[in-house]
Amino acid sequence: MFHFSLDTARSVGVLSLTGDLTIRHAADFKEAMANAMYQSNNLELNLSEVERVDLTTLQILCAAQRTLLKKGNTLTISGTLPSALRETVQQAGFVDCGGDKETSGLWKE
Amino acid sequence: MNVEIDTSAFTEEAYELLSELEDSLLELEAAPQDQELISRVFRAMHTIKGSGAMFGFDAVAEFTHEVETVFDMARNGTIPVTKPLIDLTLAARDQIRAMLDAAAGGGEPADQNNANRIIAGLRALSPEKKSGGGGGHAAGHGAPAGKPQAQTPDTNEPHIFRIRFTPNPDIFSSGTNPLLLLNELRELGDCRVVARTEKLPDFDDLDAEVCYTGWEIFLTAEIGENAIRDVFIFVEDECDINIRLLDRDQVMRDREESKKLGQILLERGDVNSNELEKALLPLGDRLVQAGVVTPDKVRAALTEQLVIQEKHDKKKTAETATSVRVPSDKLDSLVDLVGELVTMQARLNQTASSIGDHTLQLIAEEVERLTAELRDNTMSIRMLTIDTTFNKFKRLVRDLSTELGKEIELITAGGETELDKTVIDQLNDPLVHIIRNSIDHGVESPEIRRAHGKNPVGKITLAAIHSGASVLIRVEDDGAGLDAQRLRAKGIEKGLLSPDDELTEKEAFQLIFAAGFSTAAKITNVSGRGVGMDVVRRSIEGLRGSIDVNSVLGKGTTITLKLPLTLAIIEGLLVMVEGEYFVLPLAAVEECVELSREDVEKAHGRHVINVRGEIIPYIRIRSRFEIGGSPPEIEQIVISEVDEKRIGFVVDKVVGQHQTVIKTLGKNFQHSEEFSGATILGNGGVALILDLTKMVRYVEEEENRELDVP
Repeated sequence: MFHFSLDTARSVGVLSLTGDLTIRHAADFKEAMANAMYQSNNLELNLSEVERVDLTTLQILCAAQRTLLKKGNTLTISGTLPSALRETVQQAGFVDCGGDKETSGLWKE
Repeated sequence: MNVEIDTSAFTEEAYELLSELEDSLLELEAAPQDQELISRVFRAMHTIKGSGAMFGFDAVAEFTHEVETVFDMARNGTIPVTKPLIDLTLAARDQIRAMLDAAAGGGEPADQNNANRIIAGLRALSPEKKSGGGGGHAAGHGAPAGKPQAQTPDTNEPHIFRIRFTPNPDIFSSGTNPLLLLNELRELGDCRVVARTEKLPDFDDLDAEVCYTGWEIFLTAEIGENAIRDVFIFVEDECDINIRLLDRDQVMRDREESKKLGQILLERGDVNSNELEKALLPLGDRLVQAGVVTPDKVRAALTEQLVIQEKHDKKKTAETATSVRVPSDKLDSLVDLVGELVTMQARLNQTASSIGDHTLQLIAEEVERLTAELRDNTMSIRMLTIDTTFNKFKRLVRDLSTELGKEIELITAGGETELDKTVIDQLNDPLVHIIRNSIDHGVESPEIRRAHGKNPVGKITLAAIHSGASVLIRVEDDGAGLDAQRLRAKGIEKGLLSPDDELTEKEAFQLIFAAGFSTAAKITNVSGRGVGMDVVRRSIEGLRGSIDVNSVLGKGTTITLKLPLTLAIIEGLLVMVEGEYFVLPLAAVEECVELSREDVEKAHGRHVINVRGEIIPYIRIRSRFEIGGSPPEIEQIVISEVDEKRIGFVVDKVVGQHQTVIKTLGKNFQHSEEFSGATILGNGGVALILDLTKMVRYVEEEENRELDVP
């Protein structure tokens, strides 16, 4: 469900997430994020295998993004975003969440 | 309250919606995935249902509701858009039309069995086959779309609501997913959602199972506040919900423009005026920097500004596009009156110049200018684009080709071409005949086409273009083409010609316009009854138009209709021969040159003249109509373009331009085809209007006959 690896060459922690990322696993997800943030300053998320997200996921991501930005670090998303996920972000009105849309937005199109 | 007027407004609107519905359905058939089209279909039906119920057309509303319910499933992706669905929806559209016709015209009541059949068919398409008639609830709970009842009148106009939705932090524990509520709101109308996340703590302090988010939702919809409250009915206790109507119309009018960002923030209480003044432009950014408002708040305010602005813009376009519906007979009598006025004005001109009073002449000239403007204006009101007529044929081609097992694509071009309303009205039937013929006789079945190495999908092109004072309408198919030999054989069989008559290919093609002529081996539902093309020719000629056939065997047939732009008033050139007045349509006239005795002698008896090196044949009006007397020393040749050739018409004197109000000739003179009508002159006299095309054709035929005689 959560797989973390360190890309030392780029000094980025890569967290790959799969499956159902809804409230049922929200606490676990937050912990996995916290671990990843502990191990690496900059974080890259691979969400391409995620099937479902809900508001809890978006809140965690948004908060993580803000906290990392505040410290001058980055949270980025690699790989393609599954359309279901993109849709939830839209539905929840979270497209602009987590920083400035132009420069550091998490959900930039 | 005048009920008559109200319902006729509804039926007219409904007819328009139905034709839009038809267009959308046909487009949808080509692109079944197109969400925008599906929504268009849905919207059209929804409006018919809504206003139908409001005007008391309950049967229409109920029926439409059933259809809409099924289409709603297609919109939600529950069922796919398939050909049966489109077929049934088209049938439903016809049924609604029939119901409206019956209700409006008091004609025969629509066939209820047919309606039941359509509904049964549609229900069979839906996965959960609902039994029992009447109002099954529409998909999407809480959506008012489910009820065909009349809505409160003040909900017709879309309103913008701002909904502030702040769930309790522990809302997740009750199993509620706030995002689903947002989705329900989306079903009500156009929805913009901005999340407010200012309460979201730092990551370390975040409890993953607490809801920190609130929303500002801007909903543009034709609903009342209660419909919105209904969405939140189950979570009312767990949420803070604040709904405000943003734009009452009078508010919009008072302000005349959208609110400024600062104003909005102020009104919303997100910022006080001191703070606002501290931070001048760029306002949003400064406020955020100053820590007065969070970016979320600015974004929410900006969204509000945008939504209102958009509605404002939409309103503006709606205002500029207003139009008035007028019964067409009112227009007809207006045209008649303008015609009378034009005639009277010509008399005024003539009288003014004969009296010779300078002041009177000035007035007459002014009246002339005004009359001309009035005439042009009136004519332009009567002009309609031909695309509505063209669009009707999409359905015809689709239905007929399916019926006959053929695949045919209809391509239209030049739909924006304008024609007089009368012409357009009378053009429909002839075009139906021609297109039916093309589908039935012209385009072959897919197997035959494949065997001949053609694309199995046949093509019919329907195109309109302007050409001088005429409009050309071309119906072109890539079918089998006309077989001149077979036409000739058939002609002999029908006794239309004798076996030893020689026919050119063109003459053979003309046979298809003979009454009772059909080469179709078997009579189908569509054509082959031998009525059709002769009726077509008669109606086109009744419109002072002409029809032309061209065909290449095995390649296809092209039928070209040439129609006058207008039937009522034309610009003419008034000429005189031995005291008799004639009018030539000015649009065809190119130039006038002199014809002296010398020129005539130089041509050695042939009726031609050399104009700047070009040899131009001419027709003498005097001898053509056997007007006696002797021509003057110097005659005038009016050189005109007829059938793309330059031909001269010799007259005694060119009087000048004349606004010609066309009057049809009495019954006794209708056979004189060289005249397209007559007009009344300023002095009360009558001038005949020459039909140049026909005249040239007759002269050519006569000369050919003379040449045939050895």
